[in-house]
Amino acid sequence: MNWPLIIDTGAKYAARFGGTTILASAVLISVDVLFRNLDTGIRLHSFELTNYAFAAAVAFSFAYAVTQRAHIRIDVLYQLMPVWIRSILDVLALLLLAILSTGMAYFAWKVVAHSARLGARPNSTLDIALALPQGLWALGLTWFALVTLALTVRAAIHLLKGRFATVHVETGVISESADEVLR
Amino acid sequence: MIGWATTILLILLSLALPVAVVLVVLGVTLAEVYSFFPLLPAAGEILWSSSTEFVLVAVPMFILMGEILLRSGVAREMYEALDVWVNRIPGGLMHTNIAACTLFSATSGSSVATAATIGTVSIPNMRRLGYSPPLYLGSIAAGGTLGILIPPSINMILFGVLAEVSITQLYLAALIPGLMLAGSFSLAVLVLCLLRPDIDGAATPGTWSQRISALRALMPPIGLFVIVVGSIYAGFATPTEAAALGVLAALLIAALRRGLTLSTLSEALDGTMRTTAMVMLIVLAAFFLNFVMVSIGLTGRITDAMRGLDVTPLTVMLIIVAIYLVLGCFMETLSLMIATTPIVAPIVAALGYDLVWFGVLFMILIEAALITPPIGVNLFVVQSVRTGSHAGPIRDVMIGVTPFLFMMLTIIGVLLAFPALALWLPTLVMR
Repeated sequence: MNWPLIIDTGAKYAARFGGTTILASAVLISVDVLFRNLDTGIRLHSFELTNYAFAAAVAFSFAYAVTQRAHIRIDVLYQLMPVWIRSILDVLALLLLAILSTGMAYFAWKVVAHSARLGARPNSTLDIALALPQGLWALGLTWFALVTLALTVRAAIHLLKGRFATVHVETGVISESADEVLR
Repeated sequence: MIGWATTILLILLSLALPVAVVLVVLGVTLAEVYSFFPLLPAAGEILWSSSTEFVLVAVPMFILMGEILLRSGVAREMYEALDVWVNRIPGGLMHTNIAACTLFSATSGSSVATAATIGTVSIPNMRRLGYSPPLYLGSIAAGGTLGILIPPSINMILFGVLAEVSITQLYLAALIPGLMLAGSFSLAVLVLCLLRPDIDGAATPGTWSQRISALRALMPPIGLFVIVVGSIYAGFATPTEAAALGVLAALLIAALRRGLTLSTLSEALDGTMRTTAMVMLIVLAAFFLNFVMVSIGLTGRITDAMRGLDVTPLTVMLIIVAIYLVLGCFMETLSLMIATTPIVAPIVAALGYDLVWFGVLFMILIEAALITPPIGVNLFVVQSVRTGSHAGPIRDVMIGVTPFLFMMLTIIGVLLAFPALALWLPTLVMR
C-alpha cells in the first residue's frame, strides 16, 4: 500500500470536510442575520453551531497544514545550515509537532470525558450534550496527532538511513526566500 | 524571568521549529519553573474555549471570501476600470496599482492576497508600457500591504481577540489612516515621476465614455465593501456575521460571472483550511502562553517595569516602534504579531495609550515588516508573480519599496502626533 499517498489524500479530504463546514456555517449565519434584522423571531442557533463547527473544522485541518508544510517555521538561520543539519532540524520539528498534537488530543479527550461525566449542556437555548461537539473536535485533533506521528516516523527512518536530502525534500521548510521563489 | 523567557524564545525560534511549538514549549517551561500550582490541567479548557471563539470564525470566512474572489476574475476588470480614471496622472499605471490595491483591500483581509492578485493583473503591462521596474514593483508590494490596514482585516481580528479590543472600533479607526497611507503612496509616485520622468511609462489616455462605462466593473468590489464593512459600521452585523455575508456575496459574484465550478470551489475550500489551520495553531498556542504568563505574574511584572521607567510614554512608544521595525526585517509577520500582542498590549495600555489607536499603528508596523528585506513576504510575492520576460533580480523590488516605506514611517509619525486621525471615527459612531 502507498502509505504516503493515503495520508496526503486523507488529510486533504479531512480539510475539505472542514472547509465545507465553514461554508455551511456562512450560509447558516447569513440566514440568521437576515431573520434577526427582519424581526421574524426565528433563530437558527448559528452562534453555537458555528462555534462547534469551527472547532471541529480547524481540528480536522491541522493535519493538512502539516502535509502541506504550512505551519510556520522561522528559517533565517536554517537557510545557512548544511543539508544534514537541516534534515535533523526537520525531524526535530516534526517530532515536537507530534508531541504537541498528541498532547492537544489527550487534553481534548479529557475535556470530553469531563463533559460526559457531568452531562454538561451549553449555557443557551440550544439543547445538546456538550460532549458531542467536543467529541468531534477531539477526533479531529486525534487525526492531527496520527498524521503527524506517521510523518515523523517516516522522516526519522530516512534520517537514520542517512538520506538527508530526502528528509529535506519531503519535510523541510518551503522557503519564501528569493532564490527558492525564482526556481 | 523576563530575560529567561526571551532567551528560550529566541533559541527555539532560530532552530526553525514550528512557531506554535515554540510558544507552547515556552509556556510549559515557564509554568513548570515559576508556577506555584500546576497549570497544565487547565490546558484542555483553554484549548476548547479558544477553539470556539466566535470572533475567530471571521478568519476562515474572510480567507474563503478572498479565495473565491481570486478565482472569479473580478480583479482584472476592476484594475482596467480604475486605469482609465487615474492613468493621466504622472506615474500612470503605478497610481492604478495603488488604487486597485486600495479598492481590493476594502474587500480583502490579507496583504499577501492583495499583492498577489493585483500583481498578477498588473505586472504584464510593466515592460510593454516602458515602466522602470523598481518603483513599479514597489508600488504593488507596498500597495498590497494596505490589505491588512483597510477593513476588513484578518490581522486586526487576531489583534482584537488577543488584546481584547472591539473589532468594529478597530475597523472604524483604520479607515482614515488607511486612505491617508494610500494617498501618500500615490503622492510619492507623483513626486518621483515629476523629478525623474524617465521612470514613468507611456500613458494610454482614456475617453470619458470609457470612464463612465468602466464604472460598471467597480460595482462588485464596492458592493462587497458595502455588504461586509458597511454592515459592521451600521451595526447590522458583527464582524463574523459580516464575513459570512461576504462569503455568500462573493459566491454570488463568482457564480454570475460563471467563474464558479465544483473544482474551483474545492480548491478554494482546501486553500482556506490550509491557511486557517496554520493561523489557528499559532493563535491557540499564543492563548496558552498568554494564560501562563498572566498566571505566573509575568505580564504584571513587565507592565510594572514599564511604569517604573523614568522616561516619557512617548519614548517607550518610540522604542516599541523601533523594535518592531527591526524584528520585522527578520520575522515572519503573522507569528511576530500573534506572539508579541499579549506582551505589548498590556504595556501600551499601562502607558496610557488607547489600544484601538495602537491597533492601527501596529498594523502599519506590520505592513512595514511585510516589505523590509531580507524577510518580507510581499517582496517575495511580487517577485514570484514576476515571471517570463518580466523576470529580474529581487533587488529591484527591495529598492522600489523604499519610498513607500518612508511614507509608512511618516504616517506613523503623524498618528503619534495626531491620535484623533484614528480615534475620531470610532468616537463619532460609538457615541
